[in-house]
Amino acid sequence: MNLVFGGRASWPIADPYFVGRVVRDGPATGSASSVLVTDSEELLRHAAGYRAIITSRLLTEGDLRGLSSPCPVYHEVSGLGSLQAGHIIGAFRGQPSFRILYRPESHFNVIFATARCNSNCIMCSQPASDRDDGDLVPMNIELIGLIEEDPPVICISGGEPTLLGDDLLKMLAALKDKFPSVPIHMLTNGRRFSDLSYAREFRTAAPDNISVGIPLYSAFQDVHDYIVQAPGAFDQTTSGFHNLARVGVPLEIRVVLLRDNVLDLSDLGDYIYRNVTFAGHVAFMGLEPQGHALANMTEVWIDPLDYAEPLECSVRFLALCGFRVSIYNLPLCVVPESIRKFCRQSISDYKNVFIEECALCVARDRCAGFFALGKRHHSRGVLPLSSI
Amino acid sequence: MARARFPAHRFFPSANAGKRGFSLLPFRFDRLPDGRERLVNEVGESAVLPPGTVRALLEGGIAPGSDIYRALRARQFLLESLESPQLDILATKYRTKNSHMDEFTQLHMFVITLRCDQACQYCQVSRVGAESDKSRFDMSLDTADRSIDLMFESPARHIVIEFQGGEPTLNFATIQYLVERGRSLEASKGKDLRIVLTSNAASLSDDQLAFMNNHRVCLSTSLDGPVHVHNQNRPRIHENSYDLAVRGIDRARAALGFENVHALMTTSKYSLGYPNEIVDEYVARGFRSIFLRRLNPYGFAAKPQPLGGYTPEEFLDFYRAALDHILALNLQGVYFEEVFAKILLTKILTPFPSSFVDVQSPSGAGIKCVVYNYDGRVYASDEARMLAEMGDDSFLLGDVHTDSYEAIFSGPAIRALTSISVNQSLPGCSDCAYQVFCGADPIRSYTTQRDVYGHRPTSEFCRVNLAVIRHLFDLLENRKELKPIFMAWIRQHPVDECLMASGVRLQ
Repeated sequence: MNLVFGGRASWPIADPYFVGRVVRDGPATGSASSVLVTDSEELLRHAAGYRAIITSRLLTEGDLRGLSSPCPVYHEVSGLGSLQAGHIIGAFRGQPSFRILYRPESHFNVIFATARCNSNCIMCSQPASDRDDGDLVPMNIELIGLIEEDPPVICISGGEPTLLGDDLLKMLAALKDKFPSVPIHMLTNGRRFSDLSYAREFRTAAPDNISVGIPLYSAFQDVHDYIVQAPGAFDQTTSGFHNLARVGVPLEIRVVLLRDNVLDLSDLGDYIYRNVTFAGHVAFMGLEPQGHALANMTEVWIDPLDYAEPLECSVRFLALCGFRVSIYNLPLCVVPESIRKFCRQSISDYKNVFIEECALCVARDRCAGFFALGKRHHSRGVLPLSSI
Repeated sequence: MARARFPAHRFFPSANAGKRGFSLLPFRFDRLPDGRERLVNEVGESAVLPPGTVRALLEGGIAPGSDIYRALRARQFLLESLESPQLDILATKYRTKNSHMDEFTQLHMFVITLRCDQACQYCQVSRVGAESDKSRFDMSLDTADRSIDLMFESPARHIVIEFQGGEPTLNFATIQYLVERGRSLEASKGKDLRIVLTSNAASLSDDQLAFMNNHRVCLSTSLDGPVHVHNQNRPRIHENSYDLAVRGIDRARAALGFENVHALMTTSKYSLGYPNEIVDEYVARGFRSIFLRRLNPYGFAAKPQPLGGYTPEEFLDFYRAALDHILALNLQGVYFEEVFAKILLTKILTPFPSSFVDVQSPSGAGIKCVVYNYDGRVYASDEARMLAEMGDDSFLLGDVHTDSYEAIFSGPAIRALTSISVNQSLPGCSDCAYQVFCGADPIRSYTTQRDVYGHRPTSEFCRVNLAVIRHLFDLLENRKELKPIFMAWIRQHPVDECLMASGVRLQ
């Protein structure tokens, strides 16, 4: 399952990006909201009006000059079989690849708001880049316009979406206008919400069913700030929690489990109960071995078997206090039996696999499995379950 | 290389402000028998730390980044500066801890009659027989009317009406009147009423039970323990009081629903010998909780009798034994609460206050609960009323026949009472580590010590509360397996049920 497609790009126009809905093999005349995907020579020669054209064929300079109307063309692209009609795709000028931005059939659609971030978590699976990605905002607003049916849920992520400031509010307003009742879940470090007026503006602009997911790694300010690599982050994030509660935005706390914080999980549970009592959901998350996490594996990796006890204690405590609790990204077999009911199948469909130890397991269809890119780093305790 | 990019030392808060390097926030502490120090702050956060910690905090010997520093900063005992945004969080927690005052007077007790058909040996209330003159000892409909009108002026949205006596059912007409009036006005007044009848249940007729069921009235009755304990405490002539009580409970459960029948016990000197048996009786009868209540030193209970008084230590021995037995049952999978512990544990383990009026600061008398006596006089609490029965009107708030809501609920009497019932400013309490979990009871101080402020070193209220609070802290510290049980009590559901309910994903 692939979201990124590489090939050769030709950009005869000045547009900084293209975005459009996939149309396969015709008609010859398209619209500015559509992207033609075809290998038909005939169609390629006569296609006009499309926002972009995608093909696996090798096109020469002459072929490109001979096209009916100038638009971005991606050729020699492989793996086009997985691109379906209705998928919304896009790319920036100068990039040799384009991405699927939205799949109507998926429950895991993510609007990528920005690559920039004001934190730098030591296990970040998607490390930030400082490049100017201001074009993402208009692209995303167009993307929202192109979505046809109410999605079951939309996630907004990045980088750090609140760095967009007013542009984020614009995006949220576009979502609210088109899909007033769709649940939106935004991932953020929450630090900008230490500013109460921004929290208020966020609440006003956003659709009614917005919720935010914000990481809190430790009850101890210095440990959290270290993991996040930003002094002051703990105080800003925890203030952000309170301001979000003041303006009425539901909150999910995400706790990524790494070597630096797992032994203090019961302190974190107490802290959450006493200081973030209003949180709607607490999610404990297994490490995604990508990006900084991969680079820092020796520091951040800890076998889930080795934190089974503090995890079990914290999950049970928070559930007893009345929080909804979930465990993401951990296979069922490495989680203590009494808390397996909190495990969710959380790994996005395009990232998720099983390993050879899983062949005879009866619980596969209930299990999160593993990250495709992290197959090499898994617990020593993976074994097939014979009952669930 | 990853390590070089993430130097750890940058993230310890820098020691820059003053000699100490951080600012202390208000807290008090207790010294444990082994010298360790238990620090408790204004919002009920606590930590047990090594001997000498408090002195080290004051003298700057605690280093930022140390385990002690981390533990105290997470609980807001200290911050790097007083401009920290954490102060706003602490303020929210402080408001939450004191939110029991938000609704003002919620518990409204109506003394329906002073007449009673029993003669319980520890009774604080009545020696007026059932056949006595009704016109003298019954609450009239007019008095009832004026009382309930005053009740509806309370700003509280969630109100509890409690019928008391004597034996209230001897004047059922007034109960009927109040229930019907209450239920008919409830919605238009924007109130949510819970109505409880306290009764020895011996003489409740089928019609009366049907009336209660139709109008959602709960029953609170007395069961002091197994047959010999109950009959010793609450004798009836020519009848077996225990049999009557149990039959009353069964009939009430059938008519009102199991969960709408509650039982209360009182601990007499005789009861002290039977902690396990009393608990077992409650379990056998299908109750989910017991409130192990001490005898109050009022009314007839205060008179020296061979079966009457006992020392706080004797009560505490009984209490700890009974609680131990209850905890053993819970560990075996039997869900059963001890209510006094639950009230204190709510304050210890959660960010919230408890609504139990007897252990509150400011004292609940008048501002959380109020008593409308059969004769129309209004008292700050049951104890204040009993004091009046003995000739002392010190805590009379007013009269429903002559006084307005403002005169009664914000007049000089209630203000005088409230102003001396904030334990943060009472001698002894103001330095106590457990202040935030405890309360003030000026009426009790006045009655037992002849001083509304109270003398802490000789106060039995203090001795018992302090011992139980310390005992609960010790249990939490030394027996980790008890915390889930205590949390389940606070949630009012067995552990397994709480765990089943959790876990639906936000998406």
